[in-house]
Amino acid sequence: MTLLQMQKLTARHGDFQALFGIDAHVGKGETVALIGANGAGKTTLLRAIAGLGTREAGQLTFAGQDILAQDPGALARRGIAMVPEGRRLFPSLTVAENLMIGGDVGRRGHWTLPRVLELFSEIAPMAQRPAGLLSGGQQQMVAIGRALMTNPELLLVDEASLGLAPVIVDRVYEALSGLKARGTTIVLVEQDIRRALAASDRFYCMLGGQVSLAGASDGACIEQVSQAYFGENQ
Amino acid sequence: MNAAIEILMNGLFLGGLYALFGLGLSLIFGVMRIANIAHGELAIAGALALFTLSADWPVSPLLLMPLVCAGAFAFGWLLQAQLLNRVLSPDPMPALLVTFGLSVVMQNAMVGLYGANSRSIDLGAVKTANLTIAGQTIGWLPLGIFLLSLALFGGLHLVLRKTRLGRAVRATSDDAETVALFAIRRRRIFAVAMAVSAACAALAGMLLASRSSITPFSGAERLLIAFEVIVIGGLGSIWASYLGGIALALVHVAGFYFDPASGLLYGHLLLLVFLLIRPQGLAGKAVTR
Ligand SMILES: Nc1ncnc2c1ncn2[C@@H]1O[C@H](COP(=O)(O)OP(=O)(O)O)[C@@H](O)[C@H]1O
Ligand SMILES: [Mg+2]
Repeated sequence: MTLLQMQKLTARHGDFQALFGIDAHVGKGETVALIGANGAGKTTLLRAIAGLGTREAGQLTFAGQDILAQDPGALARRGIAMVPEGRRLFPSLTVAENLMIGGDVGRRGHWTLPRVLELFSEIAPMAQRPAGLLSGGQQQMVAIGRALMTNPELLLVDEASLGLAPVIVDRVYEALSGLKARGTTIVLVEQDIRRALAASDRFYCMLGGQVSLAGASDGACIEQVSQAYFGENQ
Repeated sequence: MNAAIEILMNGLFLGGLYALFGLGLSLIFGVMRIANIAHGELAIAGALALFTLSADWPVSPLLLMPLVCAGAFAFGWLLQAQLLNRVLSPDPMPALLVTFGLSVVMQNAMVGLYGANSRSIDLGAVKTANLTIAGQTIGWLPLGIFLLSLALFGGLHLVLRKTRLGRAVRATSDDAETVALFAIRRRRIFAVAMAVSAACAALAGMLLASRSSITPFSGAERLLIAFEVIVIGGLGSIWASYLGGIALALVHVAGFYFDPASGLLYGHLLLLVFLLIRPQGLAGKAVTR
């Protein structure tokens, strides 16, 4: 069953067009990777799905319903959560309060404060500390936890591994695969092509605001993906 | 010795009032990153509204104060929802200009309605009632104001720290864009903040007008007090405003005691000292954004 569907989706930042007719879909329970170089439009696409920011046109449906004009709050209540690029925690709130902000959205489900702190046990001892004082890896866990606290059906993850030590990245991806096992649908943006393919069922490669290649992650040819990633003339 | 105790006590009592007034300004700056230039006019308008109400109703002005505060709360909410929310942008200039324009409009409206005469609020017998503790005479009114300000700060602290609304306000103050992902509407948070701020301003304005007389032009003077409170105390926590209010009031009270002609001057000097030596204030964190 298709959970998320985009048809001819375009988006612009002011006068600058960032997405040129994206056609893509995400099935329920799937993990889909969005790869592409800097400036390809990955963040713009994730933000458009979450209802943030740009002026959009085309079609965007979630669970069969048109969500193009919906605001992020309404989408959060319907089960779309985002782990934003750069994590964007609330630095003066404690770790626990950051997580509770997710809970305040009001969707009931598996994820509660104790369960998130159990999933990311390394942040549990810091629950009462301001989130701004945590290390990058710990902050990333809080950012994922905060999104989980909304009990999402669709989790959008933007560059969760950026700037983190490899051990921490493993930890983050291990958590994401645990979520997939629970049935959460995930769209993840990742610069590291191999890691993105390893973690996903399917991928879309973006270039210049368009999908340059799409396919199953298993057995994808790295050379072909790299070409789609960097463009023809490289 | 007695003089020192008197100055300390009067400074402490007046400080609670200053703190309340500064808090309103600090709240707006903390949540929206704009300075509300009309904060002083809100205080004067509160005092003048109380003036009108007590002319019509023969009860103690103290009893009418909650009514004026409720009106100010509603006014602040409408001001934000109908006016300031329309000019929100990453650039703080448009909102700043709107609050400046509002201060001019409010001042003119008040001159039109009340004339330029100076007046003060007469609280009647409460004003002179006092009690004696350990040989020290303490006025009921200043003590009551001090306790009220403590209670209000304590209440606000609890709301900000322990409730869902408070969490949403602090999160919005940290990152007003990201809160949208969690179904927090920043425009509503801003309206709440402006409503609370206006109520604080009106309350402080009424109480200050019972200590010294005002005219519709006194807003700028009052605004300066609020600025001094938050520069001296620092931004980033409501208790910083409290500290700033008490520090400023101590200097004012001591200034008036030793040099009745120019007590306020010492407050301005304290402001300068802080701007030069400790711009983040007594308790504030350095502002980086
Ligand atoms: N707020 C913005 N205003 C103007 N242009 C933007 C804005 N955000 C992104 N862009 C532009 O849109 C394009 C896509 O950006 P983005 O979606 O962030 O790419 P990616 O996440 O793939 O690196 C880039 O060319 C970028 O410069
Ligand atoms: Mg990006």
